[in-house]
Order: sequence, then structure tokens, then C-alpha cells
Amino acid sequence: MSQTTSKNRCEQYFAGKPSSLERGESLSPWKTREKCESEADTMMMFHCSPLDNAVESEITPAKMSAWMQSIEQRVTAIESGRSEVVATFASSLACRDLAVFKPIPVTIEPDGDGGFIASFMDAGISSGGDTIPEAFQSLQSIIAASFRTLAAMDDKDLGPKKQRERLVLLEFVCLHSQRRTRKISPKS
Amino acid sequence: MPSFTKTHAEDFAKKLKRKPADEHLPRLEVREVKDGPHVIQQIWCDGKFVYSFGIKHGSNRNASHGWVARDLSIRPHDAYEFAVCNITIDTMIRMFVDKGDIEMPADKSDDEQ
Repeated sequence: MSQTTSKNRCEQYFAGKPSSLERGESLSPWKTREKCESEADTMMMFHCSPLDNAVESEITPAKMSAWMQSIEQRVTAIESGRSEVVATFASSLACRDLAVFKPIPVTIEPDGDGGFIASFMDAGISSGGDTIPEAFQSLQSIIAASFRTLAAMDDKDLGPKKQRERLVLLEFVCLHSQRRTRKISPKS
Repeated sequence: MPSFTKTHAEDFAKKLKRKPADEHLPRLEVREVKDGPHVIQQIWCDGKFVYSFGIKHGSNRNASHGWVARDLSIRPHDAYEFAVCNITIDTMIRMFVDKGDIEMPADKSDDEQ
């Protein structure tokens, strides 16, 4: 919904309606709510809004309009899945040979071109996709590929960045066969 | 800044293979490994595996590949400029050296001193 529509709605709502001052009433919206049933929905908005804390006389159509615009923008962002950053965990790599020791922290954010970039920040591994699930799956695939490559190599064959990446991956990921033989210490 | 597409990512990988004009700088080697939906570009320098990034196999040529810069720990702007030839291979290798991810060959760095 565009910002213009929101503004128009506010203007339409307030158009032709005498203000509290013109009606000779008190400025309090709570009193008008009690008096006028037709305005009940609008007053409910007052009731739930951050305007509660504002001085009652400062509630103007312009402020209502701005407030509605900001809400509409936030709702649009949530509905379209384009909210700022998503932080989640990967508890598997969706492949048969690898297991995850502990959940891998994953950050997914918009790339500015309509797609998303998913990152495993600790290891410095990223990938992307057109949607959040696609970016997540792509990252899972890249992490698995990196693990298979790096686990088979020695540190002397790796540059500083890849050495760090290998250390982090070994902390989170292992072969399924190793996981089965891993001993779990009894709780003290 | 224009988006960094799959075409840019492929150009980026090609240009990393170029020989630097400065003989003191190490030359990079790029190996392609196919793994699932990605073609992983492995970057090697002096026998060491230093960086890697994935290019989506079979994706649209205009598909965004903005993660390439992040995988190489460089700014997205620098990645784009290198892909469109506004930054030379020498400059890019110096960036990697400055970050400490690539070491200058011992004999060549001694010559500089």
C-alpha cells in the first residue's frame, strides 16, 4: 500500500468531521470514544499506539498519517519477507555423510538486489539465493563442500584465512561415522 | 553501485588468473571444483589454498553473486571494480597481501628490503 493511499485515507477520515475544539469538547480522545460509537475503531488505534504517551492536544491528522505510513511500511516489509536481518541456526547440512555437532549460527540479510545473502560469520563462508530458504540451502551446501575440502588438508597447505575456517568448521561439523562413535561423558 | 552478477563473478575468477605486472608479486592460481549446485573457485597462492567462493551452477546470468566479496573479505565496490577491469590484478593481490591472507614469497620480499 502506497504512502499516498495512507495519507488520503487519513485525510478522508478527518475530512468533514469537526475537530474536538470545533465541537467545543475536551481534547481528550478517551471522552470522545465513550461518546461516539462510530469512532470506536479509530480510538482503539489511539489506545494501542505510541501516541498514548504524547500530549493529547498534539494528536493531529498529520501525525496520525505519518504514524500509519510507518506501520504500513513495516507490515509491507514483514509480509514480503524483506525485513532487515534474519538470525537462525543450521542444525544439519542436508547431506548423508556430514553431521552437525552444535547448531551453526547463520545470518541472512537482503543483498540490495532483491536476493539474500546467508553467512556463517565465524568461518567467513557466505552464499546466496533469490529467497531466504534458497540462500539458507545454498549456504548449507557450501559449508558441506568447504568441510570436505578442508578436513582432508593439512594446515601447512592452507593460507591464514582457510586455517581459521578449518578450525571453526571442525568445531561445528563432523563426519556421521565419527558422530556415532563419539563418547558422551555422563553428567556429573 | 551496480549489482555484482554471475557474469561479474565469472569475470572476477578469470581475472585472478592473470599474471601481475609487478614481478615481485605472487601469481594466483584458480581451480574450479564442481560441487552440487555450485562451481567452487579455489584460489591458490604458492601452493597454499587461500580463498574460495562459489558461483551458482546453472543460475541466471543476472543473478546476484554479492557474497563473492564477503568470501574474499574485500569491499563489494572493489570486487565490482576488479570484475570490470578498473582495478588491476596487481592492486588486488596487494590488497590480499595487506590483509595478511597472502604472503609475499620470501626471496622476493627480501629483495624489496
